[in-house]
Amino acid sequence: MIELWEATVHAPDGAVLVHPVTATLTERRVAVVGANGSGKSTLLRLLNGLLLPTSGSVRVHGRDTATDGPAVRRDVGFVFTDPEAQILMPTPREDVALSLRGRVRRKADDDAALAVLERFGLAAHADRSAHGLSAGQKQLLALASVLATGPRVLVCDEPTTLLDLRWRTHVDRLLADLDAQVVTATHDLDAARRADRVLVVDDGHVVHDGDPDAGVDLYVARMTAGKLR
Amino acid sequence: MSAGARLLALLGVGVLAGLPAHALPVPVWLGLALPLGCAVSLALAWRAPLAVVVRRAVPLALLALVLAVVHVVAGTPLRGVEVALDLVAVAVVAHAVTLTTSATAMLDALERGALRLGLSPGRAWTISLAVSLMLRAIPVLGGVAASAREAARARGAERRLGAIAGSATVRAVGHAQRTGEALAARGLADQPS
Repeated sequence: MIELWEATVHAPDGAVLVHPVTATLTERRVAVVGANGSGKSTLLRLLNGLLLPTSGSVRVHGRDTATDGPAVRRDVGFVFTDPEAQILMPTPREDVALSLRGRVRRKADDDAALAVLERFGLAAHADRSAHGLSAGQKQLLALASVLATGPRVLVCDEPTTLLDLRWRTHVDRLLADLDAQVVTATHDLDAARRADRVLVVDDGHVVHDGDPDAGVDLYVARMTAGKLR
Repeated sequence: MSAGARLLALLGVGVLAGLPAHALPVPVWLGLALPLGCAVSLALAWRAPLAVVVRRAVPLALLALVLAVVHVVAGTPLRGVEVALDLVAVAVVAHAVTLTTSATAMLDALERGALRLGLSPGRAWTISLAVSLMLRAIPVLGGVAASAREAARARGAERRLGAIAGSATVRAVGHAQRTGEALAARGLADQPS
């Protein structure tokens, strides 16, 4: 469960990036939609303490991101749009093993990492250079490395924007099958409609919070009318 | 040879390369050749793919050549030869280490070494992770520089080296920031348990 209470984010120059948001997210699948620069990513970064609210609070399973950041980040995985910066080690096996350090016995890191890669269809590339993987494979690896930590919540910032249709479908299916609560910022309106709850963000304001179809229709109407900034 | 031993060997070649050739208790010509000789011997002993080592060492070797020319012009040719050979030696052994040692093994070895030096577990972890990330960043930053050049070429601005360097630097800083976020996102930026 994610609780935001009057969570606000100001830029260093005082501009408001996210206006006060109060919401309790308990749904299994939550989609966040909005135009580029609307504040979606800023809102998502509040959810695992990558960004702290300048006022208000954000709690995940009862833990405050401001005071219990490390504990929150153990519970909340984050997947970025561009997987390149998320891949921290030279090979997929080593990258997943890095996530597993401290969670499994040291000598079992490699076997456990291979098991994770098999779940994501990357076992054949376990010892290849991660740099040489395709964009879709890199995003899968980024997902695998984050999910290897066993988060209860997964926050995804436009995880399929850079992917072609085949990989987008594959990643969407993977995310749909997860037991974890998933909060996704997305431009894929079909995926947003399939969510349990949709937040529409416009210029830092959450202008809709609730029914997916109504939220997507509102977003489309605002975009076509040129009202979204 | 363990990862820790290889890293110590890398350090050893680095120290040897840093010593002036005339300060070593061997003939000067031997003192000049010793670091590179050690580096190549280690690369062979570790069965590093020499063609790959040489290919990766070429950019630094070109820099070494430029420095050697500067010394020749300045009237210190022997010093130029020494600097060039030392740079190539360090490049050869560094690439030999990264080509024959897994990043995980290096991470473990660095962490153990840091603990033996009396650092706290948190600090030891931070240092070893920092070194591993630096190694991971090398091909990524190469890609960043290539992208910046490509973008400049697409605009016919391939001769504007300042603009390319500036763009590459900004992108590299962006990559560093995103890496920090990725570490935080996996809970790795916090103290290890």
